[in-house]
Amino acid sequence: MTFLTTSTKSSLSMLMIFTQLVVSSPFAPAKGATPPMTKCHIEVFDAHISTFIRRTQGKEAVKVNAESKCDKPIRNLRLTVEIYKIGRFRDHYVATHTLEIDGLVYANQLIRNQATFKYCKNTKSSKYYGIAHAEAIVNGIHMQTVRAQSENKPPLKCGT
Amino acid sequence: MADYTDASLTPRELDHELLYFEFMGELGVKNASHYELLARELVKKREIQFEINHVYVRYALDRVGCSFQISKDGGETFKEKYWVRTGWRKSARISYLPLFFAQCETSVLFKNNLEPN
Repeated sequence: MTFLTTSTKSSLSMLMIFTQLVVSSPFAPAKGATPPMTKCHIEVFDAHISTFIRRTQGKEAVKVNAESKCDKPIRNLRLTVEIYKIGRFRDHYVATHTLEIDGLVYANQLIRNQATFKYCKNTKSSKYYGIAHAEAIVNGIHMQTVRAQSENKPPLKCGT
Repeated sequence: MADYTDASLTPRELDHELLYFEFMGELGVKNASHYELLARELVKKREIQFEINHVYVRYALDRVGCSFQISKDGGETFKEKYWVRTGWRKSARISYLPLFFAQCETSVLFKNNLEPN
């Protein structure tokens, strides 16, 4: 078994998002009146240079990971992670990946999207962050989370 | 700063991640010349569609990037799985697309007990 030992745990940008936006259901609870039917959350972590990619491919890449968990069984989960680079006038959309799981995801099963990255072109220092969102069928109703954003935007030696 | 996974993944998941990215690197090396030809073809045609292991896939260029789409109904409809900014220059596209092909095709070809992420 292989462990990566090169680092300390990165600072997490943890955004607890309770499912509250009911897209296709007419039974959306009134804001502030009823607690959410399902407690789901997504966490999106800070952008970083991937140690996995460096180690296995010898390349530098900026990567953002995210994970999702629900307290009820869900179906047809789509967990999307988007990477943005901070620009002078506006932020640039760099890469996205949608992890799709057809069928059942058990209650409290942790689902990770760890394949959203872009290879660096050079070592120019740039700041990146991630945005994650998920959608799934919960109790037969199509639901989606709000968009969660990385807490920190660290400068990385990675020009894209 | 490193992968948060260093601390939070189980040894089995760590192994999976390493194998996944290793497979991607090997695929890129093994198919380097094929991917370069594919990149040139894509830049010329803007969109290509084919089958990988009985899965219909499509690459499509837009103004600044490239998307990878997968069909689960035999090519009737496609859903986007990956998108990456490649820049609009032809040379930038041709140089980045082979890496992108390896990344996308790994998600189709890599087999493991864990869900390929």
